Amino acid sequence: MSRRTGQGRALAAAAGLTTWLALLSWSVFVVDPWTYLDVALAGIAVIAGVGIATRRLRLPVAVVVAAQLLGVMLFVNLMWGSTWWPSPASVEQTALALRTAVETSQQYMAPVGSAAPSVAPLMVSGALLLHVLVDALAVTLGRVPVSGLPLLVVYSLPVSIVQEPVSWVVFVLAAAGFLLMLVVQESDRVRHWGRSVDGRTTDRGTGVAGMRHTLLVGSAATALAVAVPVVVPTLDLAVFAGAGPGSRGDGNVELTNPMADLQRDLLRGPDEPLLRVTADQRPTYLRTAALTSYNGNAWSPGNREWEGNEATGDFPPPTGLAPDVPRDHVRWELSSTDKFDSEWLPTSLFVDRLDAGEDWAYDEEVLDVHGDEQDVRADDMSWTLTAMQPRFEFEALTSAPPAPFELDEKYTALPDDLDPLVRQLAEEVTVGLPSRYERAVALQSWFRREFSYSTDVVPGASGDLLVEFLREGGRVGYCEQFAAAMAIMARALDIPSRVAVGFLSPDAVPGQPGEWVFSAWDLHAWPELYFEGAGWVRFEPTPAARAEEVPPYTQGDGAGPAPDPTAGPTTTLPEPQPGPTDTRTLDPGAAPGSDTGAGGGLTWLWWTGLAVALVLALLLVPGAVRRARTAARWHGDDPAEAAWAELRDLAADCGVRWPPGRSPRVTAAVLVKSFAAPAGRHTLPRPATGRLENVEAATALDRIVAAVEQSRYAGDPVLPDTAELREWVELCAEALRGGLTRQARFRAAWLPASVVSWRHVVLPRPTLTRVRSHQDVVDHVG
Amino acid sequence: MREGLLGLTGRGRAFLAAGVTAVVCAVVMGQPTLTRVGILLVALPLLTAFLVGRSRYRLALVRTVTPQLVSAGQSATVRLDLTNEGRTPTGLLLLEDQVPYVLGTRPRFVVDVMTLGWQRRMEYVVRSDVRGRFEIGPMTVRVSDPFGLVELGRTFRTTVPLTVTPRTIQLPVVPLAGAWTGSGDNRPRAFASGSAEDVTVREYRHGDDLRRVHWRSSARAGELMVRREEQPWQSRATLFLDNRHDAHRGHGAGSSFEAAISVAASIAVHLSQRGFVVRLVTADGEDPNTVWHDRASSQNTAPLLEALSVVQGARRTHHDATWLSEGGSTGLLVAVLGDLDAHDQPMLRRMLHHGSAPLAIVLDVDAWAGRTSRPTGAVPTVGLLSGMGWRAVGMRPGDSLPALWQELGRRAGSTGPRHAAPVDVAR
Repeated sequence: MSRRTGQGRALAAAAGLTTWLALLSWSVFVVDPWTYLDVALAGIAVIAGVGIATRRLRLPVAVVVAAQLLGVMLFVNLMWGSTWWPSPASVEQTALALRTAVETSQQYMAPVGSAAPSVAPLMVSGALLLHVLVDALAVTLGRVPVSGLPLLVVYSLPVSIVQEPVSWVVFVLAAAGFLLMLVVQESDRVRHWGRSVDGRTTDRGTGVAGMRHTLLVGSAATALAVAVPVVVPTLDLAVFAGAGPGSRGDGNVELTNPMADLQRDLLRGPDEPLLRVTADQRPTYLRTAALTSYNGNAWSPGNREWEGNEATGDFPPPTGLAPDVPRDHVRWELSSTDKFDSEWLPTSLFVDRLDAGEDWAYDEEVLDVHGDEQDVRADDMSWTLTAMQPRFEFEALTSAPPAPFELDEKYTALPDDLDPLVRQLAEEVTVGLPSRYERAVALQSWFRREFSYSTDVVPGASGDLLVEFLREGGRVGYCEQFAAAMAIMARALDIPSRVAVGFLSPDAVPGQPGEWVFSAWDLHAWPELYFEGAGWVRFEPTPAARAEEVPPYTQGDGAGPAPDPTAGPTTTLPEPQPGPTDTRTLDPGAAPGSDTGAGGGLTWLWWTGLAVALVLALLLVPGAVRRARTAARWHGDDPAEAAWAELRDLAADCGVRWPPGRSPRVTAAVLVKSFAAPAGRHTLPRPATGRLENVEAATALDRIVAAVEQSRYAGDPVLPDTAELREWVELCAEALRGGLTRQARFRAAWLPASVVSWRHVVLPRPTLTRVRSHQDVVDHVG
Repeated sequence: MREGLLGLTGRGRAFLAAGVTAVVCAVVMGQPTLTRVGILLVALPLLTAFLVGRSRYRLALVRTVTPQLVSAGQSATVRLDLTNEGRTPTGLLLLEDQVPYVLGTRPRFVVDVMTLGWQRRMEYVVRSDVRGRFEIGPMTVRVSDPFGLVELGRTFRTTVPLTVTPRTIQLPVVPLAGAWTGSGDNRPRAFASGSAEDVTVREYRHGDDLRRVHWRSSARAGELMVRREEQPWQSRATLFLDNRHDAHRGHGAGSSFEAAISVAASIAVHLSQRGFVVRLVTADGEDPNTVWHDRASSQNTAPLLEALSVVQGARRTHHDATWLSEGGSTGLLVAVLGDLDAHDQPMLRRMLHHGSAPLAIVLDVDAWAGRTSRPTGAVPTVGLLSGMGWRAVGMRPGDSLPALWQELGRRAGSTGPRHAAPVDVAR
């Protein structure tokens, strides 16, 4: 048991910070991350504080961990039981909050909205327990690398639960935190290993230079970690996926629990293309699944039996559809993208024939198609079907006889505690209408007239939300609520009903007639009501803002209140851009092209100007680099060497030979041959050069040589001022430039050759180790 | 880079292994999130190894120990002058001086920032309660990194010796015989006039002046011979220490052997201070560093103490008697003896003949072993030695050495010196 007390404060803080940063990745679970982040931060602070205090008391590891767990309990109790000290009532309250959170997490798909019962208790408790583990490993036991494992759990939880990749920003933050933990622990260890030579033993283990190294390595490693995965091919061998599609890759649109996923895919996700259909006419209303049972909280698919009904070949005739109803047959070829992660296979409402392969099976009663086994997904596959489109007649439907008893009993079942308002409203809306069908049409019209469409509402169809939705003042919602509410109200009116989930209407693929694409935002829900002789008939209660058309058979004469104005005959032709009032553009494809075309002329001008500026800037770079180098050089601690290096660069700039490996004196003798009088108005094109042409500069050069010799060879060098040296170098520079032609002078000023030389560094004066007596021996290592 | 990779610590290797595993798993299973973690874990040790392995530094170290000769229990200061003669190294430098554990904890220094021309002086103190000769150094240098992933070890080469001499006790001045007596080489001899053959020569001994080599005799004898010449007289003393293993009991610092060495050291210092030139003789024979030299200064006790600090127990049953056979007097002979048996009697007798009324301090070695508790004065060998003509006292663990020395002086007075007057040259 390694217990190093009194030193863990920085490490505990770093560990807390790291856990919290890793928790940022959990923000995909909820719409508003601050519902759990702030509470988690407070809880982590509590754990760290308890850890620091108990470790200071030198308690055993087990006691430290136990105290931290107790701290977590008290904290959770304080947060959701609202008292400092747990009382039976507060414990119950806390347990309730936790239970609710667990239920929410099971019912809702991520991200959970703010109106749903909060999942924060669950997330915070889990996070705190994980942090207790992190703290125990990293600080109490001093095993920081091991504590990376629970941190990895925190970080990768979103990947394993919602298959959503974690943002690289979160990764960088969490990685930085973890590296900080490593550094803190290591500097702690080093500090305990020995005393710092520079006397800074107490506060910091690493100084500025060490810090620079740390930052360099840490940031380079993190940058690599962010950048490299982009080019690393993920083989995606699908080793554990069996026959089904394997990848749980990014951004997939899931349809596992159809209703729960609907809102998320519809609202939160990107508008991914999911299905591609080849058909002669625009295919609308593709059904993915039908939800047959309502339990008071939500619609669900109910109990199904798929076994043995392989969905390849002819389908059984639709339930309740009389053979004499006239019908059309349309052939659709469908294919799904790899983003379409659904257990259900989209088909038309009435299927004549389906070729989907042996993985798929249909439900005999509902006639929707589901994977035959677990983990069969509809992504990246193609299938064909023959859709049957019955032409219902308004009159025939109004005279439909009651449904058979079993069907009626099953599809009109409502929970006993259904709010009476639902039934009351249903009857109010349909008062005085003779047939069930007319009542159903009246309901649809009522929804389309009295309600408005918005996606910014709470999802779900639980009792309270349903009443909220139906009451005056509410009446705002999106397709799921319309479909659910109408189906429930139809059941209240004894009309068998169910909710279908699927796709509303596709976008045409530009340039390819007969090709249509369904994307994530086309997901839709609608009610289907049963009428004997016609079977399951689709209705469309969602207002025109979303679904413009109502089914034609609901528009007949005497259909109660007038149909929705926007859904009138004027809009029978489907427009390519649906949903203008929807805040999102469903088809952004065509927009950018026109923009670029319009601004073409201006762009050219702009680019040319930019290019010219760039070339000019590039031309200025060498001179600027040269001057920056000079400036930096004079800041060094050896002015003589700086002057010498500057001279060498000047020689290179002026194209004057610099004899390699010679003493300063010999070099100067060579250099002085190129000296000339400073360039002026009367300078000849080819000026004379030599020592006598510029005696002043030659003397300056001699002085520089003397200084260099002092610096290099004197035991205790006496050096002139930096300012003096600079002056001398300037004299030499002018003398050198004076000996050049005009072009060469220009080149030396703006395109100095020394910029590309590698030898511009001022050589440091070698450090000598001086011994005090003849006994001392200088020992070297390195 | 290669060097840096070889220097990966356990943590570094674990990171590398975990990272590679993670990347492989991520690639196989298509998890980009895991790839990131894996690449971070791989990149960290590799980058660190690259940077640390690339760091070129050149450190110069000058180590000084003052004083180089300390008595047990005294402290010496080690001064380290460290200079960076190379470039700025990347990484932390962990310096550790290899000091024998007897001298205390190993001093450790951490250098995190080392600029060009960096110079620091570090000092630490060593202290030993055990006599001996210790090597301080060499210093090891480990280059580490702030994440603890790489550690490269390098070592300086030089060491500096530190001699810890036995503890000595100041002894009272007692009348001692033997001054001016021991003078094997020193006795003035009148050369027989003229004849080179008459030159008295002896074998060359280490330390003899080459100018005294008598080449003609050397040629005849086949080995180097030196002339015996007239020299100033010295008061000489021979300190005999019985360092045979069998003669002593006990182990380590509490053994009778260490006590004997301490006694011998005290006597040696005392005699030197009184003007004697002291040589040390052990069961292995004459100690080469303390032979009587012509110009040896009696005041310099350092060679004696140094010799005593490295004396080890000898695994032999008999004393080496060659130093007696060389002839001449032993000067004042003081023997520090342990257990004696019948074999030793001839040796003791010979010593008696060479010396003048030799003194002996006999350790009751069994008392150090904790076995017996005889009453004082009943150390059997004391009686034996007294019978032979030695002046001897017995010593037990708790006995005060000055008191015993005084007692010895009294006995010397009672038996009477051979020479007329004991000369006390102590200042």
